[in-house]
Amino acid sequence: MFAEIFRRGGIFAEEAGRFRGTVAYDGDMTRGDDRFDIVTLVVRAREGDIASFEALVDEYERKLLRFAWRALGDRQDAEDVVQDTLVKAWRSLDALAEPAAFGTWIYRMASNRCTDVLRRRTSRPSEASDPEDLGHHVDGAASVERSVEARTALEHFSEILQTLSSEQRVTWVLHQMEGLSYAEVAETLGISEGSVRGRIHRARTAIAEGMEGWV
Amino acid sequence: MSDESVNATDAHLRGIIDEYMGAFEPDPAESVGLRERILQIVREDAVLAPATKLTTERGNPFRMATAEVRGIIREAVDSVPGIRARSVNLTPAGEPEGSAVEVSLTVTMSAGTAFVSAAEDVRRSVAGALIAQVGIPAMRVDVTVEDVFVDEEAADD
Repeated sequence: MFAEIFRRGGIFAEEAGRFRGTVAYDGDMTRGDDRFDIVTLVVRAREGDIASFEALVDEYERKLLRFAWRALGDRQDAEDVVQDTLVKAWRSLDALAEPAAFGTWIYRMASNRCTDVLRRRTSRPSEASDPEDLGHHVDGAASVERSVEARTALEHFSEILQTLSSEQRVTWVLHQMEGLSYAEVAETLGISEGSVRGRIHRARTAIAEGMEGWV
Repeated sequence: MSDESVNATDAHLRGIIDEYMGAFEPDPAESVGLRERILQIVREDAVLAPATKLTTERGNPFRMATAEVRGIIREAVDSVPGIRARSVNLTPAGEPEGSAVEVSLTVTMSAGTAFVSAAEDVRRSVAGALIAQVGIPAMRVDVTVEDVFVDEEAADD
């Protein structure tokens, strides 16, 4: 129904397909009734409309969870990050000057939280994600017959990811797994595009070196 | 390690990366609890939200959650074809203060909607809803169009 707003914010949250568009609203209307664009939902939520915020949660919760899970490798930590991020978003919507930037804003908060969690793990290595956790998820998918070699390579890859610095890992996941361009990652993390390129290059090099002999 | 060999290893890694990504794809059913925890906190916060001071016809003061009054107004605005409410601001007015309100709205409008007549419909709808549901008249309803959208279904017809 509500197809596209003419005047968009000048940031990728409203420009890139993955964040753009209208979302379901579960107020007095039926879920799936995509009458409201992100800006309208943010403005309404900022004024205390819970149904609009609920629609924003429905739009972003799974995307954030997927990102945080991939960045952290641990489901519970990822859920904590998403809960903290969205609750903080609700409580500080007034601080968001440009409602069209909502997507970028919450990804930045989630990225910062992921970086904090990874840093804490570095200082307490015993809390790093358990490779068994990964094995469980992989096995849980319809891939019981997967070869031992492939599983081992995946587990090794997961271990290599844990050796990256917190910043490198979050940056690499945003680019490589969430599909953001260098410019979008820079906007999300609030750093220069050059820094993004540097981090991703170092991460790729570390991964390539770590996986030498495995691929 | 050279850039070329990093790129070559990257390409070889694609399968493993894809597998890793697939392993960390949340099942919607499994995140229901997370959604509910978030919204529970939001609802608890909303209880503490500010209230607007109003006054009955007989001069008795009362308070109503501002978000609630805004919700009534938004619903009235949304009921007008081609119009969607965005921001709703309320100012207690009248004598005694709070016996009426002044409303300032921003809205988005469907392309092709005749604004002047739609704005009148919005004013009527808002004034009617305030009287019916709050018992307070609207002394003034300012409407500002902030954005225009294309209604795909209407465009397809």
